[in-house]
Amino acid sequence: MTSQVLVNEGMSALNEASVTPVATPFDDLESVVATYEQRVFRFMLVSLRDRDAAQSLTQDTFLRAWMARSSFRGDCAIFTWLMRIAVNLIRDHTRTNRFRFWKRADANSVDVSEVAQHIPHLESSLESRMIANEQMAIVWESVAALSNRQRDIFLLRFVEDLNLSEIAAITNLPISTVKSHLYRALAILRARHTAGILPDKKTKEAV
Amino acid sequence: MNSPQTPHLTHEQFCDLILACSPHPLSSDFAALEQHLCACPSCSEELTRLSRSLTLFREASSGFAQQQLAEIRARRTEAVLPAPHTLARPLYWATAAVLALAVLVPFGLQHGSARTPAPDAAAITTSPHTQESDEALLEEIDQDISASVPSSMRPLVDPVASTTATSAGNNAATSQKTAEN
Repeated sequence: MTSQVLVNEGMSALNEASVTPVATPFDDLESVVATYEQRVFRFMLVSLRDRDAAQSLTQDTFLRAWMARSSFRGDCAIFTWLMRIAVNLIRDHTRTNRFRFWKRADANSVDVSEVAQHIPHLESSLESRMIANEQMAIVWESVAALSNRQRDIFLLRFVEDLNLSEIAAITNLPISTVKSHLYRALAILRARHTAGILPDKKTKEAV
Repeated sequence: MNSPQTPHLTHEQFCDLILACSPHPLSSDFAALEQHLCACPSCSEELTRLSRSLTLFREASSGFAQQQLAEIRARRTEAVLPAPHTLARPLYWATAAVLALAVLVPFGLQHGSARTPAPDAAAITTSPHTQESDEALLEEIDQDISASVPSSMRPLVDPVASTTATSAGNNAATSQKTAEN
């Protein structure tokens, strides 16, 4: 009898647990969007370099997070979980041939001169501004030359300022692999930086 | 640290400094690396330039994304609520004018009809001649009504003397009218 009672109690507890939804931070989606939209959108925009695609995929990120909120266990930060979704969305998006076609000439594509306008120029001299624009443009063009995986990791490290363990959690890769990708990405950047290669001369025009 | 064969930092050492992470297993500790940087202007300069480039890239990307998101949010707000400047559009003004006319025109017509002046008593005074003829006409009607047989039905009462009676009656009526006039 005692065992029967325990079984019944256990079953009822299980039923209650399955019926009662577990509260997650994503239940209040509005506050999550308000807190993290800026960072998710920035990552999307710099990665895709397309305003509309960045906006659309940012919305998709929050939508997917809300739909899968029951699977959020709280074992990682909210931002880490969001960025994991964002990275997967970008990967799906860039795989399509449509993206590759439209990437060549798109009205929504971001030009480096637009980005260069947002460099904080603490120095007033024209020469220092030009140098700063050139330096930023070298990094911008180098990022375009990276593979998708390298670009994701590079941006997570140098734009989102995440540490290696956070990047490893987002990309689901070992830390050593993350580090290797960063070494390769920085090798490309160093080579361009040393040579002073500036494929796009629009930066000078932006000055 | 850098080996005697390579006077400069290895790529891994350089990256570790850029990443500001713990020294790579193959590299020495950061104190030795920094010691090399103090002694090697080439490595030091490259590290400074690269770090600065990455910082500029981050700041410019952040500023650009912030501006773009602000524009997107502004467009969202415009989509939800019409902005005040949209009132300047001609379509809005035309619609407003039509609505105003639809409301004001019936009101104006009603108001105008209510204010229509009553006919002036002085304006409808009749002349004496008209008044006399009206009285004669009314008297004739009274005679017709008071007669046992209407004048138009008399020929049917006495068909034989209809022509003489009719002519005599007509003559009598004519003479009576002439006398009255």
